[in-house]
Amino acid sequence: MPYNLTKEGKEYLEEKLPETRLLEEIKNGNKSMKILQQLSFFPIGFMWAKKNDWVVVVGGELEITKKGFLSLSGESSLIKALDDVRNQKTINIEDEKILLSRKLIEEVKEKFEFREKEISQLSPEIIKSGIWRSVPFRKYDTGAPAPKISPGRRHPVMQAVEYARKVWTEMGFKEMEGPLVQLSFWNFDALFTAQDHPVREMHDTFFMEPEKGKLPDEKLVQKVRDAHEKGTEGSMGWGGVWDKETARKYVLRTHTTCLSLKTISQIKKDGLPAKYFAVGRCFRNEAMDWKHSFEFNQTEGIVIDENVNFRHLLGYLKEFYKRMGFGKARFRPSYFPYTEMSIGIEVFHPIHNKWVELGGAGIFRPEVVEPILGKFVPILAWGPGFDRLVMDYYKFERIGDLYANDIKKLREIKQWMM
Amino acid sequence: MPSVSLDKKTVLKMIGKKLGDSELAERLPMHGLFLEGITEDKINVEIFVNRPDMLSEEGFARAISGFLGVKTGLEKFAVKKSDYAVTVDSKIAKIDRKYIGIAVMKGLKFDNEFIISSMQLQDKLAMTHGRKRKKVAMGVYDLDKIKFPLTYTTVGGNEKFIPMGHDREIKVSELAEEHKRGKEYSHLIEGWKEFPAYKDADGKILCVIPITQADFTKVTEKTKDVMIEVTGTDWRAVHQILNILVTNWSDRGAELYEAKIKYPFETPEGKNVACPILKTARMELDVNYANKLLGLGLTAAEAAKLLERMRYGAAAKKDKIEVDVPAYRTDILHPFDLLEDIAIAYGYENFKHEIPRVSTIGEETPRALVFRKIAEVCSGLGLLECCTLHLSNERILNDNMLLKNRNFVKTINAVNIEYDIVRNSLLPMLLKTLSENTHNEYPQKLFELGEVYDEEKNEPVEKNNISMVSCHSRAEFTEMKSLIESLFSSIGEKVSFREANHNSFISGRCASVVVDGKQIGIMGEIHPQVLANFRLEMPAAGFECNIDWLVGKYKRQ
Repeated sequence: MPYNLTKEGKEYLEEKLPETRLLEEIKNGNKSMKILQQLSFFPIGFMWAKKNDWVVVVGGELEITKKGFLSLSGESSLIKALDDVRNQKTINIEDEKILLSRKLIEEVKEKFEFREKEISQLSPEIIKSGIWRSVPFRKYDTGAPAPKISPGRRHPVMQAVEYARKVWTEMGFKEMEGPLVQLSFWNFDALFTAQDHPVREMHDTFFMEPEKGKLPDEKLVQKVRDAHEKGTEGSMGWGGVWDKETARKYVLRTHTTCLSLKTISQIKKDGLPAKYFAVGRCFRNEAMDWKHSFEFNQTEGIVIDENVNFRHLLGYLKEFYKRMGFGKARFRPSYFPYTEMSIGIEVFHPIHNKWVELGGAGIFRPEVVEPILGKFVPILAWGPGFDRLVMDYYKFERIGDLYANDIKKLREIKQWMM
Repeated sequence: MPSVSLDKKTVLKMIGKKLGDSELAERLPMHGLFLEGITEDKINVEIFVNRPDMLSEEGFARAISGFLGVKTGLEKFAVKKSDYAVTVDSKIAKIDRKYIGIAVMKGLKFDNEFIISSMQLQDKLAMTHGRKRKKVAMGVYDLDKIKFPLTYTTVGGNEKFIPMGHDREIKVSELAEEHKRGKEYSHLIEGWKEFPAYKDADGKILCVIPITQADFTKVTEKTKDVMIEVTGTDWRAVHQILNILVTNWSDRGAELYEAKIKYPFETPEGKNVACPILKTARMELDVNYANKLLGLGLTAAEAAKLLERMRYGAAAKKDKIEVDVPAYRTDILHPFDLLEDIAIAYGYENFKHEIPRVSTIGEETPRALVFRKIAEVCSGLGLLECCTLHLSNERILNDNMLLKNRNFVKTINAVNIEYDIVRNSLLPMLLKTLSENTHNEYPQKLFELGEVYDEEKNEPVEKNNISMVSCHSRAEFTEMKSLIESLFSSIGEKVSFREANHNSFISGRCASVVVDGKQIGIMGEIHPQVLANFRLEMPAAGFECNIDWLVGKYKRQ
């Protein structure tokens, strides 16, 4: 470690140490404390002389000890060390400790010789020294490229999901959740999807191992069975025989609508009106292409109230898409086994300048509602795909890109600014 | 959703109104179908499965004509009396394809356009409503070639006939191997000893159900009169398909004749059934009920008019409407279904959108809260969030990780076998992500929050986990420990570490992560063999733990 002499250090090197000077005074006959105390170097000199056992006080006078005389005969090691420091030589650690504690030396501070004509990097030394008052700052090329930063960030899809969650809760919806692996009963049967409906075939739906689970309570199961086989009041049902074992099969949920059904089945008598939403991963057993993935997100919503109608369904959807940045949304007739006034939702894509299909909505059929709620109450329901919105916002070409986790893209992609 | 290609000229002629392509493109989807495109001579559309009657030009035009207000109201179809008789053999009582529907049509013109159209209609009906022939199969026969009365019976595997497209006799049992359709549908007749079949008055085999007709019965360009046969396991579906075929082809100007079927057992229509059964179904609709659910203020007369545009018979009586549902409609199960057709006729685009005053309180789940808070902290620690797939495979979850887990929750029918197991852990997913990003700049620090699955006591059990990895030339144990400690102190939890052994980590540089005295996860330096398995050439440290206990702490009372 390089050191410089402090102001005091330099002084001592030239005029000897104060304790040495004190000894010399005594040696010269000035023994009286009273007189010696008037010397400027006395306090420090006396302190160190005593510490070193160089002097003793005898009746108001100081006397040099044997050790003191010894010190006067040879060269002081501290003076030698100070000299070495001046000559930039390394000194031993004991001396270094003492010199540092006596503030006779200090660490060399790089600066201070500021030879540049301009300041480039502003530093604590420059600020402290005030150099900045007289030396001009070098002008930077403000257009020069800056190095890239790799920030920690949230995934683009999760940013969008968080936003959708915010939109739904702001609109008074309560969040629903539930497992990805569901009984066919909740995914299909409770939704009045016939057991031989093509969607339940092997190539559309992932079936699981463990293969089957436990159905909910027998009364509910019986009501769902009746809805399928005979219909609820006023309905023909699908006919045929409803098979319990088929309903027991586990599937990876094909839509978040199963969450709505489970939620409705748990609503208490005084629990209405109620509004619920979910955003969650769903699965379809198909090969991947740019538009399709076997995993995708859906956003689900239900409004349960005696007085809601089709126009309200359109109103909620319109509002949601407006908040998701699609001012233009249109609704066309569609088909789902579990809704009437089934709606296909399309939004206008301002960049592609075309209508984009997003998914479905409708009012749950009596065959869906009556078995699980005990009576018919209008339930507005929707479950459009969510990833398409995310793809469009971030300009992803393929749905697979959303889950590819390309680190460069994750670092550089713009934030979900909604 | 079945897609069909319809002859534009035929459709327009049957609609009875001149329409430009742009008008078609605008109006057709508002009836409820997905328009793929209109070419010079074709309209290509996807028909929703609830309207199989629209799978050919006639039914399509009938619906659209009404929708556009050209021809409205119930269309009547005349069925002529006849002596065409079919007997169902008692042997049929033992098999599940026991219901049949038969009709005769005369005066059809099998030109090129109709041959394509009729084939397409039969094919799509068999695929969708017929559930790929599993529920219903059908055939059209040249009437001149067959001799009534017919018998619906079974034949043994050794009986011989010349199936469609062949020039030599084969045994019925050889169909599954020798015949094109036999191969295609062999799974439907697997293990059969007796095959359902029609025989004519001379005892000739007309067809073997649900595979193929005899070659001599086939329809040619010279054919004018046909026998239509629909056979299946479900009474309703059999008759719906027969009704669609005969009503659509009646619109081609053909005359329709009934067939008299004699069953040895009871059916929903008794033992003696005259086909086709084209009687309408009567439903009563209360206009107040309709208005309440649609949010409209229609009079019964207005609603009836709208129903007529959807080709129903409808008569308003005070607040009630008596609705006659045509026999070709398969989708009207409940008066509720009529509301949708009223809405379609009214025009989805004409409804005023409104947000109702339904006062409720919005709320997110504790899981969402915990996920978000952890994600915020992790982002602040400089980690990138990943969203990986939930499906993976044993190579990634077990082999690459040097593990031997057996309690996976698996799919049994994944199209893509690379993705056949629901992940039981997030760490392998993040390591896979690293392996796909070796061309990108280091350091790479990632985290993910999400569901994982284990099989426990033969039940799938869902858990929520967090995982982190750090991968760069100096990644090691202490860095990961610092990250974990920072994460847990940020969310107000005290974490400690206990030396542990885990195959995926370097021995002596692996610890279990402990909160409230419970081991909740594992962390450490990733084993070089694991890195090599993922083709990673950089050191990495990783961490994964369950967070359901944390979610539980934030549940509202």
